[in-house]
Amino acid sequence: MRSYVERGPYALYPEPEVTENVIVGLVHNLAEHGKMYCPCADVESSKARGHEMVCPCTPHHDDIKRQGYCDCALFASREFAAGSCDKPGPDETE
Amino acid sequence: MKLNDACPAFELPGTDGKIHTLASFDGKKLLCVIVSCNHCPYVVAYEERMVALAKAHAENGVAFMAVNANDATRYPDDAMEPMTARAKDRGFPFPYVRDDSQAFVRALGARFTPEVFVFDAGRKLRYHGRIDDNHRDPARVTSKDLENALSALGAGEAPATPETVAFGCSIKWK
Repeated sequence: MRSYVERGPYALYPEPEVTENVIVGLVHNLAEHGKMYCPCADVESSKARGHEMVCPCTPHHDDIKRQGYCDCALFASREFAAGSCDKPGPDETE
Repeated sequence: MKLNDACPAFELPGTDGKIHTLASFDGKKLLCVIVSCNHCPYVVAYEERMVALAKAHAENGVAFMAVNANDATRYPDDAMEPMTARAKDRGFPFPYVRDDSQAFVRALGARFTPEVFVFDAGRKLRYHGRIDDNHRDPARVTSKDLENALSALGAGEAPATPETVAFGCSIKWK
């Protein structure tokens, strides 16, 4: 996770309490289901989609482009992370 | 929104076929708004606790309302018809309303599902945040934040912890 953030275009969502919970969910899914399926998606549906919903998931690029952060609130654009984390939606991030 | 801010006005259709407004809850000591949805695993994990809390506090004049504002175009499971089925299936004892414009949920400043906003009799915000600290296993909850807030407010006291960080799925904005 750390290396993905350090080497990639994104930052972590700027609230440690939030990202910690997502990471716990990822670890739980790894332990229970064998892969780090996104905790914000139904695991059985994710399994049916192959690798698409394994973190970092396929949709996270579009999510971040649209609203500044991925649907699990784990990764965020560097702009979003640098600004206020109180932004409730895409209207405020544009 | 910040603590002590007034509840934003709303006029939202529910799965019960009624339109719900702030006035619909007149006379209730507390109004607990839970930003929710159909498909989020965090919400699914909490639904039983939401129902239990609503039933437990109903006789104390606490009203619950769940509101789903997720973009139903991208997430059809969050449209009114599946919401109606969910409310019936889970036996929600509270209105489950649809905020299609997302205006109410934006005014709340909500970001996640589930995310809780408790308003007092004057409809000022008195608790905001999570339901508790463990969505996966109710037996391992160590901090019943919403329960504690409702109990304190019901006793005429301020919640010891009026704000917690909500966690869950992000709201699916349009």
